[in-house]
Amino acid sequence: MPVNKRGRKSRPGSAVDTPVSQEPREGEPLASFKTAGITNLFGVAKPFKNSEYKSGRRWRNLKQVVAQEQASSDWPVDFPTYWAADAPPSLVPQKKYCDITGLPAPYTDPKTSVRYHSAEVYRILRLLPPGSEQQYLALRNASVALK
Amino acid sequence: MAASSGVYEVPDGSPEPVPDLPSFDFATMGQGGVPLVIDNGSDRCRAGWATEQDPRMEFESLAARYRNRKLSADPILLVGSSVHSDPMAKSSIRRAFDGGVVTNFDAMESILDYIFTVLGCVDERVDQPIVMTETVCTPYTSRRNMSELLFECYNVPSVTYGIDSVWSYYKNTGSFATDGLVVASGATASHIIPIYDARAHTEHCKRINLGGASMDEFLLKLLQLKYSAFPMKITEWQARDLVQRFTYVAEDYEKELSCYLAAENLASKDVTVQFQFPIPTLDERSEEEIQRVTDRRREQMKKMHEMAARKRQEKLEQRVQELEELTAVRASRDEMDADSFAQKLRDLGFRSERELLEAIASAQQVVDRAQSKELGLEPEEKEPPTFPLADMPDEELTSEQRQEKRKQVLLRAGHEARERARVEREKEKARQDEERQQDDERRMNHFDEWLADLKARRNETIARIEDRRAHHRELNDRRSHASQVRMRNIADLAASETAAPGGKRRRRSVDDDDFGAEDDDWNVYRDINKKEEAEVDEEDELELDKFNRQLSLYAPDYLEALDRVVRAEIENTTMYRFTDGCQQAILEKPAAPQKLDNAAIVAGVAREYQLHLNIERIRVPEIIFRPGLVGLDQAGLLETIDGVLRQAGSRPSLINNVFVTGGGFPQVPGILGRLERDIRSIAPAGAPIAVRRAADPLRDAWRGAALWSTREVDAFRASRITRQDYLEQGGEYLREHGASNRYSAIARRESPAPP
Repeated sequence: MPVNKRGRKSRPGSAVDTPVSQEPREGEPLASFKTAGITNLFGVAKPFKNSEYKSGRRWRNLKQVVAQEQASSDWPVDFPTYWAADAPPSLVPQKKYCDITGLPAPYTDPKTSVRYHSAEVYRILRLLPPGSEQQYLALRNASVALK
Repeated sequence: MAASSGVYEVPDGSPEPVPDLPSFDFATMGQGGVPLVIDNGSDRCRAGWATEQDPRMEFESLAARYRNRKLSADPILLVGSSVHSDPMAKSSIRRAFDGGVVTNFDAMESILDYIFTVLGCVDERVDQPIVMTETVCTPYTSRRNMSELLFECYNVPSVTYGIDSVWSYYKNTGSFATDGLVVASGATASHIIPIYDARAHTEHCKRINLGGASMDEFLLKLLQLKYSAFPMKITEWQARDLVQRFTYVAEDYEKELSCYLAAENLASKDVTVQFQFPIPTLDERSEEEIQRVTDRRREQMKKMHEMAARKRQEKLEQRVQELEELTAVRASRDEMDADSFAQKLRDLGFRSERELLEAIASAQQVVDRAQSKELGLEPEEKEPPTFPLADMPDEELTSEQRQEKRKQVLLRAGHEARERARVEREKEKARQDEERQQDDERRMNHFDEWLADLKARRNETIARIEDRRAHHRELNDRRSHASQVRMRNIADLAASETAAPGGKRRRRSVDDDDFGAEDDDWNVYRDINKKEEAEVDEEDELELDKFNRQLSLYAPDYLEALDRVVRAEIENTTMYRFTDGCQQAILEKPAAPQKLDNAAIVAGVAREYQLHLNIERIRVPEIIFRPGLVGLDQAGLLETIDGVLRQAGSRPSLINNVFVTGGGFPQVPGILGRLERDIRSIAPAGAPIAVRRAADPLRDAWRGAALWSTREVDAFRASRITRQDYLEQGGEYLREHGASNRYSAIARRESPAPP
């Protein structure tokens, strides 16, 4: 409908042209929402969309997308792919920090492999309910999950 | 630096939903092919016209499609902050992004619908060139899907893709002619991109998979562990608020960390965060009112006592009357003949005259006792009862007397036992009186000595209680010395018990081991009893209480000083400072008696709903410099920058223009100083270093894209991917420009067809 389209374009700043006011019934703000004035986008007319377009796909997460892309083709050596941009592991020795307080940790508990700052923190560590040391280890991705 | 010290009251709940923006007229704003710029960030999305200064729209990249029959028969589709307005939407909230890359194109479609609707698009197609940001090194699949959506669903004439942070660089530098190093950090990832030869070199770019959201997540986990018994659920949104308000990057992490909990620093660095708490119900009455109530109660008690006394009096009178009647019956015996008297007795329920006499005697006794009690007299021991028959030999007695004698012997035994107990009691009372008197005397005359003694005894009691507790604790550990001694004792006892009845094999020494000769021997049973002896403990507690009372009466300073010492001891521990900051410690059992007024009660409850941020303030942002802190096996920011600089040919011009932008770590105070200091440590001596932040790290990507597409007209025209390009070259096709990713047709040809 090119005539209609051109006609609309020639009317400057006409508020009636907005889809919301075109479809007052469907585009009504949802009154019982916490804040008034929120529109249900579903009911608003969207003339700009191709009504025949349907993706209808199941979307894979990033890990799956990257794995598939990486496996399915030969990528040039120097080409900046998503996986090539990943920062490499560190080559410098890592400082150790107390899992409980975050202070520098000169000690590691041989029983739970939790790192700790001082004898005082160790006393707290001993009082922890069993299993919660795993939560501390999980902070730095070092927990042991028993399945 | 962010505000420190003082109490911060954290807001409750989730962010307030921002109402929809009013619609704009697409027709006027979008005339003449003005590019529509969309900064498609993983956290927030911004959209608007390239000819304008600022984006028209800015909203959270969230979409929720769900059904709520109460509100509408149709499905409901919400985009942006409005998804928080309906609790029913919560489980349906979707992000288009996974780690900075668009993966869910249903959500993306909702977001684009929202943009085009709000910007007022009423034509059958979106008839504007689109300028859209994408992440560094976007996977081809993602771009292919994006192009498909834009061209097939919205029928756009063309699209230009570019990297958000590089456009932000353009906005702040004015061109790509100046070399520089972009350090960009979004919600989930951080990138380092070198810019030279008038373009972004993504082939040397590196990404650390940490962003602003990683900090929120880390802080939330830290707080949940630090205050595992916190009475409230800390929300993600609150964690985010705390990260934004209170974290900062330490210039020298090691140095700052080592003295963070020191007394002189703590007051200025510790932040108290107050959550909303229920106000406890308080006793608001004044002293006078309380006094009046107690007075009234006392009055009532008095009345009740009087009433009871009156009742007792009535009863007594009744008894006296009964007694008189019975005595009258007895007296009437002489005036009647035997038969009629017997008849009278039977009428009254007595079988014989003797029974009557007994009844009179017992009634007399009751009356006497009641009267003497009324007069407040002790039931005086009339004459000690005699037991004349008890000591007579049986031979001299008749059988009746013998029976009587047996009775008397029993009575005498009981009487004597009572007598002994009474004497014992009196003695004990006298002893206590004397002790108290001596104690008082000593206190009067030798106060210091008395006080020292009292203190010593108090300490002894405490030591006893502590010892018992320690012993009990040790018993919980099977391998402790105490446990082993106990097991040995049990084994010994069991062995001697089983050996004894066996008879044959028992040795003489076992048979007669003198067990029990000394009182301490019996302690062995106490030792093997694992349960804490409640009554012994209680006895000591009572004694301690008594000492405390006396001390608070005669030497109040002493107990307070003791409490101060204990408190200081607690306050000086690392763990206390870590969890409670520099507040005064609350003692579990203060020695000095304490009186809580209403303000103190409220403060006590408020404190339960408080948490303290101290080390977390620098620990949380530190993850970008040491990803190992959150268990991410990637090099930190400095090491990665070093690697990128080497890859890019160690150009000195790069470190002279380090540009920091984005909504993640660049927002944290202190990051510039730290970066400069760190880069200096890897740069050649004397090399000029400049680190700066984007004027607006959040919005400059959009502004840069808008500026670039209107100012660099030729580059923009050349960078448009047209519908024809899309159809001929495929969805992942990209026309390169200064701010774009790289494209390689080789990769495209060998990649499989879209699924």
